[in-house]
Amino acid sequence: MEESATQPPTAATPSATAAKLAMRHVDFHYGPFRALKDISLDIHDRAITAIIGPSGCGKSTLLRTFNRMNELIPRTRVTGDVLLDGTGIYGPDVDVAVLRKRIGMVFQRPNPFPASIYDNVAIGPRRHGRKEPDVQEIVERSLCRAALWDEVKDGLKGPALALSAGQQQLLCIARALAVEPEAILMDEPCSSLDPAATLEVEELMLELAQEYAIVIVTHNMQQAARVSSMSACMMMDPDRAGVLAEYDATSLIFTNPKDKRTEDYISGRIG
Amino acid sequence: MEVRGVYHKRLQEIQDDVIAIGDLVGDALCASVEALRERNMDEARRIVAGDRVINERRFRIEEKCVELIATQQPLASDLRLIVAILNITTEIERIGDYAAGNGKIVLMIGDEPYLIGFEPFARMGDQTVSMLRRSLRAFVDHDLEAAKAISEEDDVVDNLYDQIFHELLGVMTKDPSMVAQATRRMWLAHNLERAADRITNICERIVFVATGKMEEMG
Repeated sequence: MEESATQPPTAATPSATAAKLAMRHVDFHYGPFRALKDISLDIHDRAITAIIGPSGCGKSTLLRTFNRMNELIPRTRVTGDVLLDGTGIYGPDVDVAVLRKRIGMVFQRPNPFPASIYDNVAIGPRRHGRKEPDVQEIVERSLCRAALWDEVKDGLKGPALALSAGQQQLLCIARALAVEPEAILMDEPCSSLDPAATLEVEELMLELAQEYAIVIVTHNMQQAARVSSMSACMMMDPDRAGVLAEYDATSLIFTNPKDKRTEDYISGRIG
Repeated sequence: MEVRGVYHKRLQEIQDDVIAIGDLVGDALCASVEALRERNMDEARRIVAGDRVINERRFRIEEKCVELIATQQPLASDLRLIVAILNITTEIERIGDYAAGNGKIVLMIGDEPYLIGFEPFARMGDQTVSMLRRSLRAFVDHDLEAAKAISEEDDVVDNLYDQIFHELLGVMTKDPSMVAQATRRMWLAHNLERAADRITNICERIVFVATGKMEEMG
């Protein structure tokens, strides 16, 4: 597993060779319950990595371990190494606010703040000390990158919550881009969107993958197959801990998986 | 924003690959008939060796199709196109086998004298290669009418084959010592006749892409 995890992806992935994020023998506990067991993998820069697997196997836990979001839950514990550009992110001297600026996140349900479209995107840069007119420029650039600018440029002061669900999710992506992250974590970003909005977000992800490391958790295997160049298939051990069953180029995972559990999962024999 | 741009790019790449392998096979078939005319043994050996490249390309196209089906979930006309490409590529690869077979026959014939005129072989070769090249064009253009018209031209090749068959039968009847030589020429003509049959199959797939209907042609 370790060997294939370090191979560059073969699918349409521009210059995806360096490991932006990595885990080495990571265990994660919620209180006494071990949710992740001995996870090791490399997340390539400028590529989309999909995390797939049945419900409850630890996909979202794994994702949130990459930017220490799990720490918001009491009595959690991480062992092993989680690395950003080769440096541990759980060290005592790591500024979590800076870490989460470097590793942005987009959630399952679009969650814009009850504020204007402009302020939703501006809040991050302002909090990190940027002033007008810089902020204005960042807002426009971020909305452009999120393919939303043309639709909202004449109503930036309008309420974000009045946008459609698809537009709200694009806005959340713009909000994540506004603090100039290096990697973006996406937890089921399309599960509350209709098919057209889903395709729009997927297209945007492929665009963004030219510049960022993107990790997406999805229940939708077709989506993982469509957009990612690497896929990690997680499973639940007999003790209910999440383990990495297989990690390889998406084209191989979906045509010739090596692990029987992966084969059974993607062919629908196990849910 | 272009929707599913990466997917459409990959689908186009596979179609380009089909045209490329089709061009290779067309060239090989054409060269095999020329090698017979000119008794060019070097060219015949080159054609035989070139079949490996064609086989490899066929496998790569199949791999790309399988990957596209698995990862991009093509549906409707795209699904028909991928299924058609899998079939068309098999047909093209088999035509490549006929070209290589002809190369081997040319080597076997060597310096033996012509038993009958070369002209019907040349016409068969020209007609078959022309049908192949035009069928590839029809595939690119999704040209249903062109595909139907090309498949009807199979009769021209069949008639030329009948002509060669009967002429060679006459030679064998007249002089049984010529049986081995005549049979080799018959094999070569038969390869061209089968190639044209497979082009008809390609035309059937072009119609399938356009209409969704599987119909026997030719």
